[in-house]
Amino acid sequence: MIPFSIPANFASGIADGSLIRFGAIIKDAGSGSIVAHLQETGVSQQLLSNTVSLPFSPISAASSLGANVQLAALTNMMAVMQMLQFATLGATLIGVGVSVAGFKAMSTRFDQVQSQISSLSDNVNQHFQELKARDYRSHQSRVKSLLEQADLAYSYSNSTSEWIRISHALADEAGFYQGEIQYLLSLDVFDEQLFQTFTQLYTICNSARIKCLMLADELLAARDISKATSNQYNFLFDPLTPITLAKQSINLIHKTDQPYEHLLRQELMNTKQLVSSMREVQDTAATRPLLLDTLIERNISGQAFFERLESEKIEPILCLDTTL
Amino acid sequence: MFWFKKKTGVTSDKQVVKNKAITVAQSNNLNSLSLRRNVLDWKDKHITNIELHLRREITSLMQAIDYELDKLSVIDSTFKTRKIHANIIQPLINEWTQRESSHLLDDAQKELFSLHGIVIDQIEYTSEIDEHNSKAHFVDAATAASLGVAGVVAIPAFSSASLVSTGGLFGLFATTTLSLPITATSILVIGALFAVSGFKMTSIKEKAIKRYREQLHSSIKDSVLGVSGKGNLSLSEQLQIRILTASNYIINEVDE
Repeated sequence: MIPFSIPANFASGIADGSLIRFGAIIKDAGSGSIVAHLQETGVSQQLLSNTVSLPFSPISAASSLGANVQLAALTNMMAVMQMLQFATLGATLIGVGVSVAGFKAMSTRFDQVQSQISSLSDNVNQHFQELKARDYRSHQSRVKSLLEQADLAYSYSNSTSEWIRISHALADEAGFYQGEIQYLLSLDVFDEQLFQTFTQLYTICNSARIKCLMLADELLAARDISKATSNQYNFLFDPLTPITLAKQSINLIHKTDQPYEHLLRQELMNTKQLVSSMREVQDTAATRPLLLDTLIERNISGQAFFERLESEKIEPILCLDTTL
Repeated sequence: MFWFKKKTGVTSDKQVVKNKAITVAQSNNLNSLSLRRNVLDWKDKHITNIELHLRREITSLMQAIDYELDKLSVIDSTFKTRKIHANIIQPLINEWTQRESSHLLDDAQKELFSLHGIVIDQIEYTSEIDEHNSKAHFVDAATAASLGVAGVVAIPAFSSASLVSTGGLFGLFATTTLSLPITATSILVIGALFAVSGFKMTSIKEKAIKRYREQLHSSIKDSVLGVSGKGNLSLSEQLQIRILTASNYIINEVDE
């Protein structure tokens, strides 16, 4: 039995400061030791699956979502995240704990995000002109195919080797999107929409890689890749600063009558939110290897872990209690 | 990050005192992650603050300069221009630059020290931990931060500004002050106009002062904020580089 408890059990400790939430863990403020690992469930993934830009939004933005999501359940999830003192939904971009999104859901999300690229082509961006649409379609097809293969692997008599193979192939695709993000950030202009799009595609590939390895019960490898991924996120996102991105965003605006100072403050509001989300992503990614350490230490198999989380019907986030 | 480097050590400790060893490793790791995040937040906050603060406060410098220019007599503005620039304008610029730089860097320094204070407290709190396993990392991180400060000071980031040493290496940022290289230029045109025409002095003076004022404003704005995007590093960029360098140095040490 996996020792899960509900976040409400830690609410008073977080409120009085004796417990602190950092990334996807709750730690004891005094000793600094881990009290619980936060872990999203299937409920969380269902709620967030149709909201492409949500990971870059503040918690309060959830209330403005359309009727296509279960508003009451989503409101409950936001309340839990607020209680846990998440400032943004950045953590949901890579999954709180490890991503429990099904491979089909990942594939759907990948298509949704990828479709944004064609709409972005309306922007007259010099750098976008240089990008090759055929390359993007090729990588999109490849990732989609891999996610479908990963979903099919459940029915194999020996799924393990298949999931490991798919994980390796997804690493190449993640590398492609990482390169695109690096390129975007090396430009004098900053296209926030394109950055968000590539970041989501990149993180989907990484989440799927780790999930494949966990399903194959290669938890040590999953931990090592989580660590490497965290380092890659730090490498990419450490240099971001709100003011630099705001100034680069203004470079993208071609004609405006508004004074520079006004534009700067306007852009700064967006880029502060974006950087805050990316910091949340980094923290969550950094604490993921600790969750995998706990699973290894307690002999909890990857498959059993996902089965329990996917079967959860009420709580969007559960806590793997390390004190039990 | 430390957890992989210390994997073997943690495993062997676990065999001896199981629960304690795991708690210690997690605690160290989490402390370093928290410090890392705090330093990134510190960097984001102060790099942004420098830009916004200078954009806001540059108007006070402009107003002070305008006030002095308005007081000039025809004779002063015609024959004593270099002296005026050297004795009135440049000191105003220097005083403002030093005051604002000190304010911004002192503010950043205070907050950075408070972050280090957290780490030092944690070292004391976990003093029972085996030194080789954990404590040394935080001592190193704290020491590196201090060394990083000295390293920051030594970085020749001031290609466009003159350096004025103000004392020993007591502070992270306050050891050097900046002055902007604004030079006296177009006010000299008044002399030429006076020699040619000899009348309409008030109008000529006003025009010349206006032109000088505009050039001075533009030059100061470029030197402070780098609005043209050309030439040497602006004051804002130089101050931001100091924050960035300190942040990178500490994060590199924490990550090792």
